[in-house]
Amino acid sequence: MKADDNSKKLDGLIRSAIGRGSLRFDFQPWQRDHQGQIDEFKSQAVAGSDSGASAPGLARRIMIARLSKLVVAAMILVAVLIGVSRFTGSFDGTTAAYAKVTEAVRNVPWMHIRYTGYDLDKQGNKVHAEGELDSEIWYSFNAQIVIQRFFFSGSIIYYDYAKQQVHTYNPHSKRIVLSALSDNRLPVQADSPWSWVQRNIRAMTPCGGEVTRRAGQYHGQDVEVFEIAATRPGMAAICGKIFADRTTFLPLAEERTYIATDTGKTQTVETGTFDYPEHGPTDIYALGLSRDTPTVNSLPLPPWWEISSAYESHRSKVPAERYIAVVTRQMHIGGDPVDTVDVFYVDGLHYREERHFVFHTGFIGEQWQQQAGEVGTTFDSIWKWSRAYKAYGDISVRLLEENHYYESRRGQNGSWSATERTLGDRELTRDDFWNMCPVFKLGWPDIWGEAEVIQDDYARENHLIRLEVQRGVFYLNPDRDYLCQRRIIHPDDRTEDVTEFGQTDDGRWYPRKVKDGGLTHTIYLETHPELPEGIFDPNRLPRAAR
Amino acid sequence: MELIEAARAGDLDSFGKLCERYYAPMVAVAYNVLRDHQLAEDAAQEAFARGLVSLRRLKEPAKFAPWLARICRNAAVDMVRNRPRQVSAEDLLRPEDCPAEESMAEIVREAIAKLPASLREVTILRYYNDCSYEQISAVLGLSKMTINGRLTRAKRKLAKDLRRYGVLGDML
Repeated sequence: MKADDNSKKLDGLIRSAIGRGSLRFDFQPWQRDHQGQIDEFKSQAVAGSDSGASAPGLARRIMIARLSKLVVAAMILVAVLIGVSRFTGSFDGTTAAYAKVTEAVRNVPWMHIRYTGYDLDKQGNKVHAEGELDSEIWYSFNAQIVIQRFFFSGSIIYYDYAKQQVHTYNPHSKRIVLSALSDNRLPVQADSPWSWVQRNIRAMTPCGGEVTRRAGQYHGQDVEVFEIAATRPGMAAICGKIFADRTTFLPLAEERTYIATDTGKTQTVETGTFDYPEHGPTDIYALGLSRDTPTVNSLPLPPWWEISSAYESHRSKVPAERYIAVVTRQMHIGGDPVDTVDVFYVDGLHYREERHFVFHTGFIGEQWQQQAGEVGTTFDSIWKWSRAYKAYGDISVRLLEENHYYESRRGQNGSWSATERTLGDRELTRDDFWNMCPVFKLGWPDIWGEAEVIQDDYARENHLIRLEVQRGVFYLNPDRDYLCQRRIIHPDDRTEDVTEFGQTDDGRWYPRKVKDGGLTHTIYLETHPELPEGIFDPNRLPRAAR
Repeated sequence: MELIEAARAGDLDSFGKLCERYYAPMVAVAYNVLRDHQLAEDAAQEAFARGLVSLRRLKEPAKFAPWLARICRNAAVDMVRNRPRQVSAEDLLRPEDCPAEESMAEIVREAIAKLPASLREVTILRYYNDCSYEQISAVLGLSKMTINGRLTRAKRKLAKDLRRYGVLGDML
């Protein structure tokens, strides 16, 4: 009876100590916060990518999502064009015939393409709601305008190449952001809509693609049918058809089918129908937006996805083949004690990380007084201290070698214990190691979701770029490798500031001090250092005395 | 299984239903690593994002929940790495500032933290938000009998530990 009572009492104690009660998950806000991943997930279906490659970074995700839409929307017409242009001689009259199509398209005031499509599962069932993939594109080659509208999300992008501007409507914030469009900053470095689509496709033409031309019918009308098939390594094969009027040579429709290269089954079917109105949308409001829609002028800055692309390229750049990063975390309470010291050693594909808890919780003042002098405030003093394992608190040392993980941990009783694991079938890369280093996360944090470039006084005064996303605000410093100089994290608006900067011998910027509320992280980054012998040897990890 | 297959085929709504189903256990899995309610919820949501992107690489749909739990653990570990150690208000309070109830909860939390990893995870899944044996079984890929055994062992160890503080009477 007593044991039973105790059991119930124990249940109650555990629940009151850690119990959280019921939790509800709301998918709608989650979707809004993770649009990038959702886009990537959808683009996987479009691309048929089933490779085991590592997950792409943020900007790559953004670019995949954006560019896949740009590319696929404009693909077939130009794919055929490029395909034909690669053949020097006439074959089957295709070259000459398609030249007429190209010329006809160039001469119309507006070309409008309405796209619709669906994905199929392995059983051949449609997996998207009706209209979910619907979009439209407007081209005016004379006015140098390209407009994209995604009906399901409601987002609109209006490129005006003549004015070198782009208006972006974000349906979540219900704002329009006006940004600069510059030749050398456009994702594919194009200087006109035409070269833009050409360049998009150029990346795909090495995959081959044979163009054929034949007479055919489209909805009972005699047409020229141009067909192209291309296989992209690791991605779905594409079969496309374009139906052009035999008299005007203007395209009437295109059909595109993506086929999984491993199963041979159709994954995605998309169709576009063309029309050629005399007049097109002269501005973004002509697409149904109210003229009262709030507009943010972020000129002369480019749109956020271009900034994200630059951010990501700097972010993913590993500082050196060999480096040591030491990161201390200081608490701003009595005596400003350093709470943890992290040390990261990287040499090519060798990685070691150490975490030293300087003192035991509850003995902060006393133990920090004893440690402060030895820890010091220079790379040399801190590193030397770490090598002697002098911390009072726990210490962990981890090695990653190919797909093996080794850890030695010194617990509160002062003895070392070792563990070893296999990490699965993926071997780690230099990029993985850099992603695990706190310098990376403190300097270039993840920026999730749709962003907008909206400057404020702080950004203007400090020559920073301010990106606003649903979960926070990021101020990037384009003069210092796009380092995130300030971050405000919603919903509590916690602010993280880089208050000092460092630079490696190679000129790479990194955050030297990061202030996060009552904590300061100090980073010491040494590139090309001499490393202690055996530092990556699992047999030389600290172990329990035998 | 149907939901998993549909989600793998691209149906976002099905993925949303899976998220709803596994949210509570995933938060518990993350809490086991992070010891912070808010961060645990963030980690679970991050795990869903990672899971969505990798969903088509899932080789055995029947093992969706353990697979997602692994992702969730990794997401939580990444968060720990990102923020070395949260110094909570409790760390900075002097013992005399701690309310008695909070002290007892802290003692219990400490005792749970000392459990072997395999017992601790089951305990947290069971008590954090009252996951059923079925849910725990799905998430950890273990039989209900194993879960029951681990819970019993965990409770014995906890009772033993807590008796030293006079929190519990006789052995269970």
